[in-house]
Formats: sequence, C-alpha cells, structure tokens
Amino acid sequence: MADALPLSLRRLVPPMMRTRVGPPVMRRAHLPPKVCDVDGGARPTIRLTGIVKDYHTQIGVRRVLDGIGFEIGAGEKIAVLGRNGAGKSTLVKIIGGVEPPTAGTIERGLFMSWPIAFGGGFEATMSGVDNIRFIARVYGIPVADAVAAVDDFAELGRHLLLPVKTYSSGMRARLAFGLTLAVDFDCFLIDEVISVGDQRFQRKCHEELFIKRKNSAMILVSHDIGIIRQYCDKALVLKAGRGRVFDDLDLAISIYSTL
Amino acid sequence: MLITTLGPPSGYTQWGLYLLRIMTDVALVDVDYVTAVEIAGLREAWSQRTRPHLFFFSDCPERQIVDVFVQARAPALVFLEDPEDVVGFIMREREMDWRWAVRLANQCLTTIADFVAEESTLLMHREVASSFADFFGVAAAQFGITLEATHLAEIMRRVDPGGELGPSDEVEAGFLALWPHARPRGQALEGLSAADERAIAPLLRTLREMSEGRLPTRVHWPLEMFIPGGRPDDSVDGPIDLLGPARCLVYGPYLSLPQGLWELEVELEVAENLSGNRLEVDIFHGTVLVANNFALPAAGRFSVRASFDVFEPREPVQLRISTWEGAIEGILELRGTHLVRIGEAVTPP
Repeated sequence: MADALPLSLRRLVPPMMRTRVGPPVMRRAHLPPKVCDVDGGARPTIRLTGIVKDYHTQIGVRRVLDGIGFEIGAGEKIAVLGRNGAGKSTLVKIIGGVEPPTAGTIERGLFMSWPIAFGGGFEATMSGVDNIRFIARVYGIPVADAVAAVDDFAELGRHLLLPVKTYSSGMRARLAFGLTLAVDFDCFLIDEVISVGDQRFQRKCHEELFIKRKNSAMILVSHDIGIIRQYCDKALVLKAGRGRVFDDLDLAISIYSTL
Repeated sequence: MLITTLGPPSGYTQWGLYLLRIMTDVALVDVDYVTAVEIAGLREAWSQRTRPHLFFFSDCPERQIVDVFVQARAPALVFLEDPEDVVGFIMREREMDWRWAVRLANQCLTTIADFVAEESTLLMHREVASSFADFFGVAAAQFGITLEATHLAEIMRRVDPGGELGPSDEVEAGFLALWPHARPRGQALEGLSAADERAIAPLLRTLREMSEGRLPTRVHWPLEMFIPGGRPDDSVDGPIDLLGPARCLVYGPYLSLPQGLWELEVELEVAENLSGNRLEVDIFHGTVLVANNFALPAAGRFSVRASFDVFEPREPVQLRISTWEGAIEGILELRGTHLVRIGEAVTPP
C-alpha cells in the first residue's frame, strides 16, 4: 500500500509500515475508561461539572468560566455559543486537556479529540510529517496510515516535509484538521474550524466532519447558525463566563443573537 | 345655541344624553348633533352644521378641544357617576376585561377632568336622586333653554311611550328600568375576584379624585395593569424570567395622566443575574420621552426615577422595561410604580 502514498512521502515511511488497507482512518490502540450515566446505564458520556477558570492578571483575578457544566453522550452534538470573549475557546482548551480548570471536574467517557485545528500541539521546528509520526505514536495508530490520511486530506504536498514553523496559519489548520480526522475519535472538539481555507476546502471539512462522521459526538464552537441548526441537538450559551444548556436550539440561538 | 356635553362612556352618560336629546328636540327643534374627540373632527362637523342649534358631545376629547371650550367659558354639562359604575358598565356593554375597561374609563375621565374642575360646568351626578322634572329643569337652566310645561309633558311622552314614568319619578328609576346593562349604584363590579378588587382599588381612587374635580398628585399603577412582553392578553402576575433574547419584558399600563410634570419611580428587584445584562426603562407618551439604560446588578432592589411632561391626557402613558442583551439566567420583579405630579408641564409638545 505504500504505492498509494505520494512519491514525495514514500521514502519517509518505514517499509514495514507501508501496509495500509481500507480507509485512512485509524482504530485507536487504547480506550479511556467509560463514564456511565447517573442512572447506572452503560451510556458513555463526557461530563463537565462546575468548571471554573481564573486567570491572574495585573489587575487581579479574571474569572473566564464560572461553574460551567454539561454532559453529552455518544453521537450527541452540542453547540457552544457566545460573544467573543465569552470563554468559548478557553472551554474548548479545558475540555481538550490543553489547559487545566481552576476548579471543577471533567469526566471523559468518550475518546475525545484535541480541538480541531488546534496548532498548539505541533513542534514548530519539526516537519509536518514528523509531527504526524509523533502524534500517531502517541495515539497508537499506524504511522504510515496516519501520514497517508493527513496528506490525502490536508493537500499540503511537499510542504509536509518542511518545518511547521514555515506554515501559514491556514496550512497549520489543515494539518491539524487532517490529523484529527486520521484518528477515530468518539467526540470531536471543533473550534470554528469550518472557516479554514477556501470554499472547496471548507466543503471538504464539512463533508468529512458532518457527513462521514455524523454518528460521532461533537462539541462545536461556531458562529455559523446554519451549521448549528443543521447538526446540533442542543446548545451551551456562554455569557460573561456563565453558561446554560438549552435543548431548545431556537431559544438558544435567539439569545445568542442578542447577547 | 351651543349645548356642550361630556361624560365617560357609561350607562348614565348614555341615559343622560338620551334625555337631553329629547329635551333639545322638543324645546329647540332645529338641532345638529355632533360628536368629536379630535379638533379636526370638530372643525369638519362645525363647517357642516345647517341648523341654528348645535348639540356637542364628547367622551374623550383631545386637549385642543378641551382648550377651545374651557377658554371660551362655554356652558357645559358633564355626566358623572362613580368610576366603579363606569368601569362595570364598560365591562358589561363592551364585554371587556376589567383592565381594559379601567383604561378606557381612565382615559375618558382624565380628558374631561378640566371640564369637571370648571366652575361654569354643570355636573350631573347619578348619585343625586332627582326627578325628571328636576333633571330637565337644571339642564335647561344651564344652557338658557326655556322649558315650558307642555315641553315637559312631550319630553316624558317620548322618554317613556308606555306612559309609566312621569315628571316626578326619579331619573335613576327610569335608568334602571329602561337602559340596557344598567345596574344599581355600587353593584357594577360584583363578581370580580378579591385579588382583582385589590388591584383596581387604587385606580378607582385616582378616578374618583378626578370625578370630584381634584387633580390627582399621587398615582399608583398596580402590577396587574402591566403586560408581559410577548403575551398581550396577559397581565404581569409575579417575577419575570430574564431568560431569553433581548426583548421588551413588560409594558403598560396604558393609563392616562392629567397634564403636568410627573415624576415616575419604578421599584425593581433583580436576582440571579450573575452573567449581567443591561436594562432600559423608557416612558412612551406618543413618543419616547425618557429612556434610562443601565447595567443591571447581579442581585438587589433598586429604583429608577424619571420625570416627564404630559401635554395630551388623551394619549395613555406607557412604561416599557426591556433587556438590552440576551439572558441565560436572572429574575426581575416589578415591585411598584408610583407617580407624583411635581409641577406644570414645561416642555412644549
């Protein structure tokens, strides 16, 4: 299957790894322990309880998140809505494990992605391919297949051989997006990634996320009301660090529209 | 001859007008009957008059009409009965909820309050037990109409073709016997719940002041007269959930105030507003007169004060309280709305 890789990348993949069959999506090697429903059922969930995040600034403590809590199960999709500065990205980073909360707990009963398009996990001096290899090993997926999958999706071509620090922000986002899709997560954390790239690329992102992975759970931060209406089951509206979950999407969107 | 009559849209007013029209038909013969609530309508009617005598009636005249008649010191007659009876009659005749009946009674009584206060105005109170002979005699004297004995007999014949009522019978007895929806005094609001009676009481007090020719200086608008945003058929009955998009939370009461400079104090209590919001309190009286926009505290009780001029009593006053941002939490309670008349209106309309 190494023949399926672009010529530019074949030499980077050890021969014993060039054996991918099937779609470029990997099964993870290790599953996290499942968090069950309060009713004792086996439904795995992601559960946030009383999440608080404080930042210490020169003018004192600034509370960005104040007692946020919600729960989503397998296949559920929750939108996170709020004005700029409401704490959406901070929440995504906390859920993704990029930042710790000041208080509160997160139970991750689903195998959850890092924030899609989040570039903070890349080593800037390493090439794109080396970053893919690193991540693939961390997540226990075949390296060759990961490289092939990312190359296929991100369309970065020979740029994958260059250090990530030479990438534009769009290229970084495409690399990160591709890497996220290469792993078979139960739940995707999506922070405005749909705005990456040109229209064709956006359509591709949309198809990969919302059509091919329609049965995955998602935590979706977006200002795109159309996508939220189409795909989300409920919404968390953030305002001044406080949050409330709405099963009524229309109500949530009407509130968000006038925040 | 100009016969100016006024009165709220009550049964006694209708009955009194019916009697007076018969009297003028009999005694003056050539009479044009005109009703108008706006000066434009009065001008048009005036220009179309063809007879020597004009019988004018208004139940809710705009300020310009009031000014024209009051400044001319033209003799006028106002039919008055207790505001409770006015409200009850409106409810029955127009099948109105008591809130809307109070609004209509309030609007009409406020607009004619200046006539009531005028010394030259004849106030025909339902409470005064009088005979038909007295009634017609007093009314005719007010307008300088000569009423002869033959006139009175003809009037009574037209009032009650059955011939059961005579000049010495009480006007009240005729009213109760002949007029649809008429009720004995003090029984107009029977059937209202105790809560509604409590709510309506301060409004009736204000209306009674105006009916007695006194200018109310302190007015209380009960909570029940306010309308929750998005539910025009309901009235506010407790705390308002802020949860929802930015919107008008409460508006009303659509009650008129006499001319003057008024100070409004709105008492509010907020709780659980941890994510903050902005509130706008404005006063609408044909246009937005005052608007206060301020940050809403997380919790606590506070009041908002605003002063404004009322030039046109016919135009009801509206208080509107709106959130300026969508809310994910919080409760707001309208605790009280009080008005004090602090002077004459100073800003030109």
